[in-house]
This record gives sequence, structure tokens and C-alpha cells, in this order.
Amino acid sequence: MKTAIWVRHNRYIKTIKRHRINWIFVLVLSIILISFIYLTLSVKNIQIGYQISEALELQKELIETNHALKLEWSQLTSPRVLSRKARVFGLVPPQEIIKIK
Amino acid sequence: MEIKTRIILILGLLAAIGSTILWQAFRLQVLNQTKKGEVLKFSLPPKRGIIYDRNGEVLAITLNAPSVYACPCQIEDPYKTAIFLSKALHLKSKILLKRLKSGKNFVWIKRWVSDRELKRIRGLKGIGIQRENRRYYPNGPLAGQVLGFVGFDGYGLEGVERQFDNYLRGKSGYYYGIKDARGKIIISPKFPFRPAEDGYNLFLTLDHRIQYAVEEALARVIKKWHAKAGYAVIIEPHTGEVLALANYPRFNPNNFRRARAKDYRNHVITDTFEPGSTFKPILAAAALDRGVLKPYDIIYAENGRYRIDDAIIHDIKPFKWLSAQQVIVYSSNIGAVKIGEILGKKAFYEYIKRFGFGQKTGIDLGGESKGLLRPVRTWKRVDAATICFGQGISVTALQLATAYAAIANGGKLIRPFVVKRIVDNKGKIVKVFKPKIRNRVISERTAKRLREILREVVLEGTGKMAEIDGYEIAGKTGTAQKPKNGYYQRNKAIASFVGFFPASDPKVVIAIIIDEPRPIRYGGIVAAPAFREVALDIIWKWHLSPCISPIEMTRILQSKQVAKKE
Repeated sequence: MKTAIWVRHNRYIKTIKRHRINWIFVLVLSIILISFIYLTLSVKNIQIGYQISEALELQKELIETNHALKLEWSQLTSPRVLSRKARVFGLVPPQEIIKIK
Repeated sequence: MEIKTRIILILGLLAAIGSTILWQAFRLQVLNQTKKGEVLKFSLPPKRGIIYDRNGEVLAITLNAPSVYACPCQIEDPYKTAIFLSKALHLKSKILLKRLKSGKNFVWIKRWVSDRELKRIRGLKGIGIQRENRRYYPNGPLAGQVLGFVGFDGYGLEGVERQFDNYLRGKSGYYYGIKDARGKIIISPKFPFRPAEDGYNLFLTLDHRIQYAVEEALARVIKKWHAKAGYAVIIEPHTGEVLALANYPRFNPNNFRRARAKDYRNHVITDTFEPGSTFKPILAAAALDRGVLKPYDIIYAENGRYRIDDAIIHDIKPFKWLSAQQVIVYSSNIGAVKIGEILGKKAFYEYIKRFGFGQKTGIDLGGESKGLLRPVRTWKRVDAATICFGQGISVTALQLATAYAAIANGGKLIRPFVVKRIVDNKGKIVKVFKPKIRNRVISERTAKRLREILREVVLEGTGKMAEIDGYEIAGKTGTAQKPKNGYYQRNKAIASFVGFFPASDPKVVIAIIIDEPRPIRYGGIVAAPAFREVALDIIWKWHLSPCISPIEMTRILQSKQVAKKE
């Protein structure tokens, strides 16, 4: 856009070039930028979704492992199992236990 | 072509390709992202709470176990598949064939299979594996009837599992997600997400080592005396905490599939029996508390034979003159009847009720029996007499133990309980169960006097086989004939010993009941040694010191050694 500058007595001095904003260009650029941001966030969302799923699976596995270990410990320290193993080693419960003090 | 034109063409082409890619990306990622049909709801099953004993030892825990299912529509040859599965999983092929020919999309073949069974059936077409929560009891039959068991659907069906099912079960959670091309699930945060709440954990009052000792002692006694069954209860008398609750025959909750109702019933609280002479201390307590009798008042025991209306009451040994204390120590039925006559049936009935008989103890387990106590207005003279020595009334082993706990703790009837506290997965306490006193039964002075009498039973009377040097064992033996069709059977009896120690400051009450021992039926010979065995185990596990000085203890042991040598 050109703007002409006129002074008093209608004398033409010079012409200034003013830049015209291309609104269509700005709109398209904005759409692209917003889409890009949305896309990035969407991809991040999916990644986090995967991470949450994996974390839930991991938590499930860890709880399961924890329970399995507790079960194994209980089975190994069960009085029945211990007394059976003691008998294998020839150990017998004492006939009488007398506490003096 | 001019360079400028070529540049424009290439740029135009690139722009077109770029726009297409951008448009596709936009369409897929922005416009089509949240189609309703692609989002699925997934449930998060909760883990059932763990049951611990009082020391934190695991008694019941849940783990994933594989279960086998079939899709009948996918099976080409049901006959071949049924035969193969019946061999691999030890099931009847006829039943399997019926399921495989049902035409359904899904049928269960076998729930909770072992790893070995699983290996045999892997890769079979139309057969799938699904992981389910399974309840494990690592100690096998230990406290089986107390713990109960959990069914396939995860609900508690007996015992503690059933009574506290609401606390143990937990709450399912859910989340929404999308399955990608690889079958992986992406959780969608746009939709609500609720994590599963695992069930609360229970801490019982049981001590699994004492429970084991009691069960083994019971098993030995039953084997030795060819008995039909046996029960035992151990209670802490001041708080009512049940340290052990044993039944024989035992029940393994891991094998509940094959069990019948009588196997997993908790006989200690459901079955009633006539207590016999173990009921005499209740009579003595009533008479002493009422003030109608003193321990050294003399009673004539009719030389072993006493007629009341059409009935004749006998004693094991004929006695002439006995003190009231000796009536209990030597277990004279006639002496007991005479004490009952002095006390009066109404007063006796009132004390029987005060001791908790004829009503539930209030233990936190289901299926408890009240026992049988007929109203006093229906008592004839014979009935009033027989109740004095524990016949004509039915009680549970737990009621008997609780009554003796009242004597042991100074006269207060406490409510027994098996669950001490409930905690969440982070260890935060959700609920604590505190001791509860139901009512005062007798005065402290009467309780103290009675403890001295029961100590004499073990020192001088019928309970000598329960004695442990230095530990002041106190208790009462019982031998009650079992009724059938209105008559008492000569050759079938319930042998019992209920006691506590140390007599001066009781730490524990133990009740041992043996059903139909043979050939000897006496509580003093059958049940008292079992009491001693269990008491020794508790002394060892709790490191209880003797009630006498080390010098006195040494002197007793030395004199015993000398007596042995002689």
C-alpha cells in the first residue's frame, strides 16, 4: 500500500510505502502452529497413556511378586514343614523343657 | 522451460505433498482421535486382603492362578479334545464332552490349574488360559475351620473369610483405553480412571505356632485313644483373645472342592456336648459367691450311692464325708448334688446364665451355637441334680473356656474374639477390636478361692496328669457319658480337661475336649496329658518363668531324679 504525503498548499512531497498485513497468511500460519501444538500434545498424551499402562502392569507384577514371595516364605517357615525337615535331620523335640529361672 | 517456472512447479508440488501429509495428520490426530467405538472400558480387579496371625505370619494370601476355558465353536474335534483334556487335567471325559458340544462361545474347563497341568494343554486349539485370583493357605490345614475358604468367584464362604468378606474383598477399579495395532492398551486420560482398592488385611489373635502345637497334640491324643474327634480352645483370660482354636479331624481350605460341610464346620463353636464334671466349678462358684457354702463345710457323700426320686446318682469311688472343696477336688457327683440342693435351683440357674451358658459368647465367627439350657421352671428334682455334675445341659467348648476365663481373670465374663485389627495396604489401621467385658459373674474373692480349689484338683485330685512343676496348673477334669435316645451310653463319653496357669496369675486358659476315646474314657487320663503338652509348648514359646524360685525349682527336680533312681 502506498501512502502519499501531502503538505500544505497541496504540494506533493513524497510517497511512503506501508506494508499491508497478509491476514490470510497469518491465519494459515496460526492454524498450522496450533495444529502442531495440538499434535505434539496429542502424541505426548498417547505416550503418557502407554507409560501409565506400563506402570499399571508393572505395579500389578510387583504386587504379584510380593505376594508370591510372602507365600513362599510362609510355606518355608510353616511349623509343619520345619518339623518335617527337622525329622529328616534326625532332630527330635525335647522330652521336657525345664526353665529354672 | 524457464527456471522460474520450474521452481514454481517444484515448489507447488512440494506444497501439495506437504499439504496432503499435513491434512492426513490433522484428520487422523485431531478429527478422528476420539471415536467412541475405539475406547474400551477395562476393569482393575482388586487383590483380596491378606490374613495374618498375631505375629504377622501369613495365614491366607491371594495370587494369580491360571484357569482353563474353551471356545466350543472353535474346536474341530470335540471327542479328541475331551479325551486329551481329561487325561491332562484329571477330569471325566463325559462331562468335558458335554461342555465342548454345548455350542457356547465360552465354557470353563477347570479353574485354578497347576503349572504342570498348564504345560500339558498349551497350544491346543480352542482352549485358552485366563489368569484369576486364587486364595492360598500356606500352612495347609492349620486353623482351617477358623479361616474358612474363598470360592471361585472371590467371595468368602466360611469362617473368617466369610465373616469379614466386606473388609477383605476390596473394590474393583476401572479405566478407559484404546488398543493399538499391537494389542497394547493406551489409557485415555480424557475418561475417568479409578484405581482398584485392594482389600484390607486382617491380623488375627491366633498364634500360628501355638495353633500348630495344639493341633499336633490333639492328633496324637486322638490317635492314641482311638477317639472320634477332638477340639481345643486357648484363650487369654484378661482380654478374650483366642490364641488357638483347633478341630480334629482337620480341614485343608486349599482343597475345599472335595470337602463336605462337616469337614469345614468349626465344631468348637457349633457343636454342643454335656460338659460333665468340668461344670462342677460353676456350681462351686455359685455357692461360694452366694455365701451359702464355705470351702471347708462338710458334706455327706452317701457312700457313693444317692437316690433322687426314681434315679440313683453314683460316684466313681464311694466317699463318706467330704469338704465342699474336696467335692470338686475328688469330683464327687453326690457331693455336687448336695451343694446344688443347698444353693437352690433358681440361684444356680441365675449363675449358669451369668457364666454365659445358654447364650452365644459373641465371638466374631459365624455359626455359633447357644448350647442347650432348659428354663429353670421345667427342671424337676432329678434335672436340677444332674445339672450339678454337668449332665442335662449342653455347652460348646468355647462357652466352657470362656466360663473358666471368668474364674481365671477375677470374675469377669469376657467376649472372645479372633480378629485383632484391620489394616490397609499401607499399614494404616482401619479398625481395632478391643477386649469387651460382658458382665461380672462372681466377686474377685470368690474367683481367687475357686482358683485355689482348682489348683488342688491338679495337686491332689483327678487332674494330676496335667501338672507341670513350678507352673501352678489349675483345672478340672470331666468325663461325661454321651446321651442317645434319652439314655446315657456306658461305652461312649466325652473326656475333657479345662484349666489355666499359673493359678495365682493366669496367663492362659486351655480347654481340651476328646470325643469318644477308647478304651479309657476319663478326662484325667485322656485329656489332662494333652493339656500338659500344650501348656509346655506355650511355656517354651512364651519363655514363661516358673512361679517358684530357682532354688525351689532345683530342689523339686533333684528330688524327682532321686525318686526316679529309687
